Amino acid sequence: MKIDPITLEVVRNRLIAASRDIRRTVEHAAYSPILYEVVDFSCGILDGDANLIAETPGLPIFLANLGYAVQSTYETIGRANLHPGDVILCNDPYSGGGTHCPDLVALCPAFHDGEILGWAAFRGHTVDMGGIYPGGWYSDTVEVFQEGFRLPPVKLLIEGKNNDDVFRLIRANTRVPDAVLGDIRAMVAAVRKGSQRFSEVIDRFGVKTTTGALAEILAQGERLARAAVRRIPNGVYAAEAVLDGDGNDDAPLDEKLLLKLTITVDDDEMIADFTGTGPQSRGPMNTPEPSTISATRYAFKIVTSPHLPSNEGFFRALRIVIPDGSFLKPKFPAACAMWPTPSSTIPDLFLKALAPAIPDQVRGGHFGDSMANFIYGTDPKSKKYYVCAEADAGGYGGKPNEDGEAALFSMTLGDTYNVPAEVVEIRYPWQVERFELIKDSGGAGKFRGGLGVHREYRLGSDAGLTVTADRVLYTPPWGVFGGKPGKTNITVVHRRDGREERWRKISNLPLAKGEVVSFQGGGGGGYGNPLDRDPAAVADDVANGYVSLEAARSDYGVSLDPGTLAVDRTATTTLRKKLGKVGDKR
Amino acid sequence: MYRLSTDVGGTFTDGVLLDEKTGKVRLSKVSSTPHNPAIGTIECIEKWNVPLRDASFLSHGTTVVINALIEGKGAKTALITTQGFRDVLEIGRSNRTEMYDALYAKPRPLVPRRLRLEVRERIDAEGRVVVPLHEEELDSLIDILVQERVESVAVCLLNAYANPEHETAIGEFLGRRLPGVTVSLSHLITRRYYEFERTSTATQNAYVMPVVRLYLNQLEEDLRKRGFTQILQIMQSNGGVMAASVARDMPIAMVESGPAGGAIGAAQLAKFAGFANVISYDMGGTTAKTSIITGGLPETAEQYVVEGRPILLPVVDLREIGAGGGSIAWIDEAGAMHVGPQSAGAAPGPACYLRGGTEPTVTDANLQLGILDPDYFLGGEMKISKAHAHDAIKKVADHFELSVDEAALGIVKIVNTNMSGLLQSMTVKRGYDPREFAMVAFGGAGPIHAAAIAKDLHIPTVIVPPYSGVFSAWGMLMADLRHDLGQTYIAPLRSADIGELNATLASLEEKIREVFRKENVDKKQIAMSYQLDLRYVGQEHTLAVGATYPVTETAKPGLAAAFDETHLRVYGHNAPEEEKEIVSLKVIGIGSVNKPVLEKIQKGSKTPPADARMGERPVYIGSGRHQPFAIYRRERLLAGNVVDGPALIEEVTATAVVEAKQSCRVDEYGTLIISVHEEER
Repeated sequence: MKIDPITLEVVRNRLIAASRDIRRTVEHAAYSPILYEVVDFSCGILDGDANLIAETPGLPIFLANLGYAVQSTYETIGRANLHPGDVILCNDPYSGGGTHCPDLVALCPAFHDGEILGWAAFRGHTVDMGGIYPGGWYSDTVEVFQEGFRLPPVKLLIEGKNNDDVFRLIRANTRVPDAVLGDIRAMVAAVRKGSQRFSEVIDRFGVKTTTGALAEILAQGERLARAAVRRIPNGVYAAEAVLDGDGNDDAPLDEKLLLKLTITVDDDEMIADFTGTGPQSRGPMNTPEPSTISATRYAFKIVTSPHLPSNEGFFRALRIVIPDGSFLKPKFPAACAMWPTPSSTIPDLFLKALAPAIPDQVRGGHFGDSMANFIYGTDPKSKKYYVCAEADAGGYGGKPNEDGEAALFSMTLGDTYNVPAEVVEIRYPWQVERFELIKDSGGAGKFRGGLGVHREYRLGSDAGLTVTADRVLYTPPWGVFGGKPGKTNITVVHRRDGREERWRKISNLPLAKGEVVSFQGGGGGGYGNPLDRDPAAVADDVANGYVSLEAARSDYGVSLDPGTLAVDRTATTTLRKKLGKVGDKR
Repeated sequence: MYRLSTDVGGTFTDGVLLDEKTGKVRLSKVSSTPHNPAIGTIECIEKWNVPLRDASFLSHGTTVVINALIEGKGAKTALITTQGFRDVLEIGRSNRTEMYDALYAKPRPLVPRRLRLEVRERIDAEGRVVVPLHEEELDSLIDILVQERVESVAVCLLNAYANPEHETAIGEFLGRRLPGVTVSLSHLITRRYYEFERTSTATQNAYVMPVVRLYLNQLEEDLRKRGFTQILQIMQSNGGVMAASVARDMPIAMVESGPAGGAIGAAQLAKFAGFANVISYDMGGTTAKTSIITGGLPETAEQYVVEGRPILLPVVDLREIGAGGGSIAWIDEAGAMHVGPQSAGAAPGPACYLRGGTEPTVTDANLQLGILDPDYFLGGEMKISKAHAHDAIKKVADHFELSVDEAALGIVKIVNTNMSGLLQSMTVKRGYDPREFAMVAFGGAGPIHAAAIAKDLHIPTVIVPPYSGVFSAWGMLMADLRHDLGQTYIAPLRSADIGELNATLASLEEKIREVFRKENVDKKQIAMSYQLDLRYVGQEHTLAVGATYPVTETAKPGLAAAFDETHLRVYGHNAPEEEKEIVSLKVIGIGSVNKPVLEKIQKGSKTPPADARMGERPVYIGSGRHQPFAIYRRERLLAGNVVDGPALIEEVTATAVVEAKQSCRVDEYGTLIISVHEEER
């Protein structure tokens, strides 16, 4: 059925509003900071065939992977066995979830005359779904059974009524049942609201017009994406990164994971091919296929249509090739707790690969890891068990016309908010010692990489710590067009006896009262040759403490008066000539 | 005696004068004078030619703060903060609002890093001093501030919301050592936690303080010279006014003064017309703004964001979208039609304005449909061209092989959907049902679209105020003095120490009373209300619950139940068995201003007088059909008249649409009250 352009726009805007209402409901009613501050979720409206129609982005790395949950629901429960008022819940990485165990998906179908015409969907991270240690995020698991309580798609509500058995099962399998069940209640309210909004559209415009509009929305998405791909010059573009691996620093499981990407732009189609990527890991650094697909879709969106709303139709212009049995398409029962780690490098690699094709739209590499960290223990005052799950920020790469951004969350995360020091000090038994930028952490460049961040806690009681930072050993935040790499990620533990431990990855490390843990997110890579940077900008960086006097000399070839910070023009010219020659020889 | 208000906008400065004896209202409109907005304000007042010594009340709304923030024209500002935390302002919350944009740039801090100075001191979350402040260590800061010629200083220390003594000490020190420099201490603006937001608030306050003081000094002097003896009242973002002497220290509280005036106007007008719950709907040239009023008061939000920078102060909760008369209809690469958010603005403006605009806008569409009269735009003062509107819309129409009329109707339908989506999300967010509200429509384009949007959302009544062209200024005339103070106070509700809780409320109240004394407010006019922000233990976001002072042990279960009930309304679920936690205590002080008696218009019968009827005009209503709409001149309608739709009620600055099957009654003050019938399926 052909839909007139006005009705189409009206239906589209109503569905976008429905998706926004899902987010609004969750944000305010959720219990866990990981939902309301980290915004570790996504929500959307899908059609009856699991095509994403409208999405309200939360976590970009979750882009367009809600369809997998609907597909799995049809496969496990069966389309005919679903009824109005049902709400589905799932988290199994290999059935309905597609990520890792702490991510729960809630789904609510919208019916008309006994037919499912659409879905409201929500995916969000909960603090704990069981598993070997608290938090659901580990560096050293070797099979998914260790990682948490798994739910394939099950009915959490049956025709509007709570399925108490499922609630009891969840309560029995999480370390923090109140928070998890509070979050689940918020999710249920949200998807029911979204489903109701979808039904209102059907009631108002009728089935024929609604389904016709859904098809046209997808067709238009495809046309927009193809037009955007056509703007990128045809060619084959490649980039790769070597990830550190998994296990613990003192007992590695997998090392030097090669992540290889070849992009082919062929008129109005893009192919992202991961052939050559390393085999499935023994440890948890495995990204289930649905998540590799969504990370790749996210990257595609960045380079083609960052400001347009997305739907399934967009991704018809993208073909993704993932080798079977690689760590981007692992086989059950591979561990996958660290699935997001490769996904934060995938979009960064897109920018690196396409730099020669679209130099004005790319930047240097970013610090490249979500810096997820977990501290857990018993609060000495309340005697309650707590799990603090946080991410840390770092620098982004220099841009074609300005310096890189300092202190942002990684590309895995999006409109995610840090937990303020004043909130941390109320919620948890520790004191925040500092929260500041790291001098000289931005990669040198004509446009400097953004600075990384240093967040330091002094513990007020014994606790356990899990950290899993990557992109440290082999692929630091790279520069582009002659820019230099940024400083890499690390976590430093200052022991009571004065020892200093530096950790990339460690699970369940005991910490004692009074010890200090310092999370350090790295900086971004530079854009362009640092010797081309305006000396006045370098002097300004030194005055503001972003760059040291020494680095101004050694990295930028700028000689400054240590007192006044005035640029010594003659000395700078000589110095830059010398450094330029050294550069040529390399 | 007279009451006056002036509202400085981007283009015009509006004024409303009310004669307290007769209730007669006079309006005034002059061009704004952006280089020195005080000049326009005085010109606006002088147009009335009344002696200012007879003025009993003068309220003033101004864009001076928001402009300084948007244009980056504040003072050279420094920040003093706790050691280890000078980058809080630059780190912000580390979020990316444009997450798909590889070149995303976050808001830049107003204070460069070298002027963010650290002091050795530390207070913990419970307000205990962990590291004492040593005044002698502050000396080195003075050198930097002097050397860098800093004009204003913000002070925000970690956990100062729990114990402000170090901030106070630094403030006193700076006052002694740098008397010419303005100082803003974070705890004097807000006692809420969240260090980035509080630092951002104090910094912006310091940044605009010198500019605002200069402005207020001149305006007060100009007014005094003309005989004004009362206190100049300044409109705040929270919907109340404050004395100019208070505004000098809290300029950041006036950032949204204009729009807040509109919301207050809507609340007052609704009261006069007998409605307690209303949605205000203000549609101008580039945007539509809406707010919700319940129980006669605009709902407020806890924070506001300007240029990406948060301000942690209560503000009338206004939502805005890019949908106005100048919003442009366009076609994307995939062939989909959209309207806005790009706007033709005032220049070049809609195609029909003949100022060089060629893109089809909402105003062009309304002209094409027959809703606007080309010969009576701004009362005939401005010539607009139907031919130009037609040609602009034809581009869109031809693309879709639609008639020009059908395309024009489409533009209006799309913009109406965008706005009903905005209104719906406002009500959803707060758990309200739009059917229980009336809509107050104003702004140049508001009354045109209100009836259709109301119909869509099943809002039964649309109210179109008199003076809708200067409605924000009219609202300011009706504003009470208002001060909000909140303090973060985290404790389980059940075991919270009642004595300590009441002492905190009492100290907040005393601080507000102190401000009222400074403002010469009569004690009898002051009313205090108390609120607790509560949540379930483990939740982050809170909901406010009203309380009576003093809070007693026996009142606790009632507070808990009120929270459960609100939670159910707003989020659709609750958990009464779970423990509740207090997060903050709030006191709102209202210094009520005697409300003027409004002039009533002449009474008439049900049938409008013959001279009000200006004939009829065909309006396109879809499917190739036109319908004749009766035309009325608003100023000739009398109280008690009923106008049945389809009709257009025209005044100089606006046109109200009454659709078929709707009817409009004129109340005793000349307000139009349109009954919106439910749409038939």
